[in-house]
Amino acid sequence: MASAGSGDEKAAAAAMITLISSDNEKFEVTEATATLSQTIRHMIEDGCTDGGVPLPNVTSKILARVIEYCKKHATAAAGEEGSSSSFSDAAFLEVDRAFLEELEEFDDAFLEVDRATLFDLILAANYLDIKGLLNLTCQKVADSVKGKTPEQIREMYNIVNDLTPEEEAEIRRETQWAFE
Amino acid sequence: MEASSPRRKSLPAEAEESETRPESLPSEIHERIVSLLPIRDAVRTSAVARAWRRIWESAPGLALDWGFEHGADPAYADAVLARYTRPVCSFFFCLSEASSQRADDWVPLLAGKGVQILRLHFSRGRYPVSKNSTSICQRERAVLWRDSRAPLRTSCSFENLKSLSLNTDFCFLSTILSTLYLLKNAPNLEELSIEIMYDNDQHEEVGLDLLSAQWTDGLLAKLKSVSMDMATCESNEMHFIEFVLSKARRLEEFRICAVEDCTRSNEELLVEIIKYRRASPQAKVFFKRMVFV
Repeated sequence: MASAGSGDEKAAAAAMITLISSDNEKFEVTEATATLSQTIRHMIEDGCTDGGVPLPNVTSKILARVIEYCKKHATAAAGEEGSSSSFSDAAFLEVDRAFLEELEEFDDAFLEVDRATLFDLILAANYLDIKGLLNLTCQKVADSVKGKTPEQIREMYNIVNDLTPEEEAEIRRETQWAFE
Repeated sequence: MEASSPRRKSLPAEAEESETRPESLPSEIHERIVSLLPIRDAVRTSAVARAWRRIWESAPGLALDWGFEHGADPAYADAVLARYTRPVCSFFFCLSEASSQRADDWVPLLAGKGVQILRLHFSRGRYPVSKNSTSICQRERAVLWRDSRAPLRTSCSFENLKSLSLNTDFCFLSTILSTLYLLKNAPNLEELSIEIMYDNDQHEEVGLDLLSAQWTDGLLAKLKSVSMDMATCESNEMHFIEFVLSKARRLEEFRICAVEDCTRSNEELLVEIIKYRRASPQAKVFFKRMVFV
């Protein structure tokens, strides 16, 4: 434990990663935040993050949102690790529940975006391999389809029905129970 | 750049619109979205457009789950099973009295499709106990029994099965052996929930020595949690509880919920259960008695 101050600073500096968006904007994030992305985790493990990580598929606007998500959820992951040893403690459970509720509220607010942004977030989560974000965003699209008829889905997403009337009749006949 | 082209929800530009259709996403994402839907919604998307037609059939992890839906025709599940191309993650269906034999076909079929979560419920009149419900009980026993002794026995192993929900009882040797056969064929089972069918009285005593004789390496090896609902706490059930506790090395919890009119007192039962040897040091046992309000 020599010269604690400068050593810690160095360790902290080493744990920062620079992410570079497609429009060349730089984002400094902690390693804990960045490694929610499996893609970046692998890059760090392979030691190829010096000089920043270029993300040619992600714009600065989307990357900023993705980082916002990762920061929040990285804190959550750290919190879980910290409290796991005292899981039987009622007070801790209460804190966890409050934190989980807060996380849920964050996720709900996070998803309040227009459709184009939502789809960009899905593509970014897929590319960066961030499981939680991919599930969250895909669930939002799934929820928009749930309980809708094929006509309503087409209308919502402006989809042209390219099935022939015969084909559509066949589908409906074969799986009539799903349309009742 | 972003600031100069604000995207509007109400009036999306033509070019943007084509990029915000689920089918414009990579197909594995389109599949993932459909896999998050309930089964009816997922199947219904096949009529949206050509690009959607077969998506549900290859959506990984789609829950083939009809829940406790009354009057769901087993033919629905047959049609889905015939067309779904991925390993089955979960399957849940309530079979009516008339169609309970469909389980004979489904169980080996689902085993072949690598089912991880299997729930088959057999509807029955709970009160009063009718002759019909007894026959369902018999038939269900037969399903498991026949299944486990069928010539295809080796191919009917549930390698991927992690969670199993069983409606059965411990009244007959054959039923108990059926349950054990099923457990033997599910070496990776982690979660077992048993709801006792409340139709029969215990017919024959099946002691711990007989259960232990069924022991094979790997039986209950991965089991983490067991729940037993509607327990009558008759001796065969108690022997089974003792057997599981003494063999399941990774068990974390065993939850027992006894029926209200169980003849033995809570204290008496607890004293007995606490004495049972536990193979797993972290195993906890929870006991409660159902109370009807």
